[in-house]
Amino acid sequence: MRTRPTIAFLAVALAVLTGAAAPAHAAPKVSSGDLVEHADTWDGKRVLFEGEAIGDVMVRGPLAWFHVNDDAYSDRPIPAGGLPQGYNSGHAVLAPAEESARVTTFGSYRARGDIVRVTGIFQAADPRHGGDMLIEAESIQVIERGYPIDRDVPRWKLIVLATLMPVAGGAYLAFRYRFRALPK
Amino acid sequence: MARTTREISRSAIARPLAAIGTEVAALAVLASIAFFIEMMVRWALR
Amino acid sequence: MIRPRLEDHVLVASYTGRVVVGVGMLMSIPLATALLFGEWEVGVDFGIGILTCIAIGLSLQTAFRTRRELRRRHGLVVVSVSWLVVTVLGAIPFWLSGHMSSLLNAVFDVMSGLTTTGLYLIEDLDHVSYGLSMWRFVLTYAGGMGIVVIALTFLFRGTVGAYQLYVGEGKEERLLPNVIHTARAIGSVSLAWLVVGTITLSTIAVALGQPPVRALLHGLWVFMGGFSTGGFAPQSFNTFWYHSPAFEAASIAIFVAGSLNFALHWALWRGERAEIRRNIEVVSFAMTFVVLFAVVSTGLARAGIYPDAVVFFRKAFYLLASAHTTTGFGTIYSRTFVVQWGPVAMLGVIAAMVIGASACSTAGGIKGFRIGVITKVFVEDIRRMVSPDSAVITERYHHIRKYVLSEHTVRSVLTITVAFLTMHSIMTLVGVMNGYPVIEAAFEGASAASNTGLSCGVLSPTMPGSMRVVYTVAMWLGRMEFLSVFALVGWGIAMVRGR
Repeated sequence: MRTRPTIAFLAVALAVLTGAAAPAHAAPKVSSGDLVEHADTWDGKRVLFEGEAIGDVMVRGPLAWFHVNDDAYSDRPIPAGGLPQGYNSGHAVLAPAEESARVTTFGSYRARGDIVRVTGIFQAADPRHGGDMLIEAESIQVIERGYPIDRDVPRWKLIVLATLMPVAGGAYLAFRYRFRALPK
Repeated sequence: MARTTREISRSAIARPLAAIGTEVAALAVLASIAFFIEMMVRWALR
Repeated sequence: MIRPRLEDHVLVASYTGRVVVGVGMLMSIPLATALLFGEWEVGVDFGIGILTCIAIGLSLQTAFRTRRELRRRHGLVVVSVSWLVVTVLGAIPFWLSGHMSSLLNAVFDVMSGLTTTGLYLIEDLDHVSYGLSMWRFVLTYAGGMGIVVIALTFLFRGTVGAYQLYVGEGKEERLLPNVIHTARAIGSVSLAWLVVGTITLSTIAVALGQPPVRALLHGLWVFMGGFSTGGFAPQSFNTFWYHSPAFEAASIAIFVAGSLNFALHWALWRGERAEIRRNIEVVSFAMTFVVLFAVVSTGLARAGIYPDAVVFFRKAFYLLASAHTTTGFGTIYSRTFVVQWGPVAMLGVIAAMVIGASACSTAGGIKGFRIGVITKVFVEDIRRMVSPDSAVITERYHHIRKYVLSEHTVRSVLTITVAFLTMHSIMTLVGVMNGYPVIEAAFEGASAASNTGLSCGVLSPTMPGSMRVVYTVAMWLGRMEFLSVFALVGWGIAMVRGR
């Protein structure tokens, strides 16, 4: 366990070094866990971040806030049949409003959101935006369109419900009968 | 001394709003004291 | 020790049945939400939950019908048994949703909601249905008022034993002479804030660019999570989702209001405005807040992550207020506490969580009242030391009216405080024994035991099962302030050893 942070740190350092030398379009691809865990290392660096756009986009004048999750569920959300594999994990993105307009589907119970590729500058605590940790996006590409999630009610749940109805009804009738029977 | 719920509900709008206003005002006072403390700490650790 | 007799068990079972039916009725809110948004499967999940609650609750009342009245020891046991039963039944829709990897995790989330903690183990929160979301917030809002208080408001008419139930849920204050009226007064205060808070937050959310329906839901939910000092939020990003000073300011006002004693709210409703600056709990909260704000500021200034004064204030004040009111809303990532804030700021936040806010509020922790009283005890002792032997020294405190500090009050204050401190030490120990660093174990343990809900990243759905159990029990103990749980344990012992 002890060596893991060290290895991770070296990997990050290496990524930063190679990333700094490479041109803008080859910004290193990072994960949300990496960014939070090594915020200082990545602060002010250009990064590439990929994941599922979730919730909604909040357009405020020329800029727009949205959130991108790069967890297991961006591949297959639980409502779409995915299995529980830990918490959500993602990152806040602040983008020019016209760039954010490309994202049309956002992840929710009813949909898997668009998978987007965000290229931008990572800010560990941006003083212009309330000290929030964010990626200041320069460009946003949708690399995979989202899709609606439709769920049918599983048959066994309907059976359980149908079984419980007479049970609860019976309990109610018994309760009413006893209530009347007991003198005040 | 204490009143029933019914009596209170006569002024159902005004009293709650006045109470909420008082609570928010008290919070604002606390926030300004805290901001002052922050300035002091930052000045001391400069 | 008197062995509980059959009639005593009958009494407990019967009252538990009533509370269970009450919780089943609460499930109709998420059911309606699910149907409104066409989430049929979620509707079925809640249908199953409601029918189970009705079947169990009514059967208990039918089978164990009694006309005896509740005594103190029954009241405490009814409350703790009800909480256990309700926690398991409330977990049914969670478990059916597929978002929990074990039943224990589902139970954990319901306990966290009811105790207004705000820690969660639900997975893929960002794809959760509106129906299940609504249930999380109904749980936390109901838990904030107290499920027994709600049951008192709607289900019990003129029950003499009602006060025994009310006391058992960690509230002793009588806002009005009649306990049912008291319960309704608590309901009125919560509802007034619900209306004002939801309108404010939803309006801001629309202005922030959220679509109207989502803005309304988010406004309502953040209100419910805030006023109950719970800390649940609709998205995994918590209140970091909104990126707005206005939204943060409004939510601070809401959770600070939630952390105030309902008796204080009621005094203000009656027009006793001076109470807000004289009340021992308000004074105590303000004092500890200012001191701990200095501690957190020192830590953050050393860490140097927020060079801008206003930004610094926005983060520090929000997080410390969230911790001190035991809310648990956060505008930073969990791990940011460890990675960027550092140990000094974390210790300040831990102390805030441990102290907590007002008694008879929705908040947890040791409580401002106890901290205030302990301070008075120290002052009294010092005054005694420097006074002549013959002098009579008394300390007074102000809480709605003036009180003279009595030995009895001091005794109960110290007992509960020592119990809390012991629990926090045990929580830290359990964390460290499972291989987590001391500061992180202390932080997460304090967060659970004080019903706060801030996380520094220790808690996870895959955390050792024993630790999840310990955290669940700690949330329960903290919310019940030990008494009801100890009463239940005593009940069990008396069944075996009593005469």
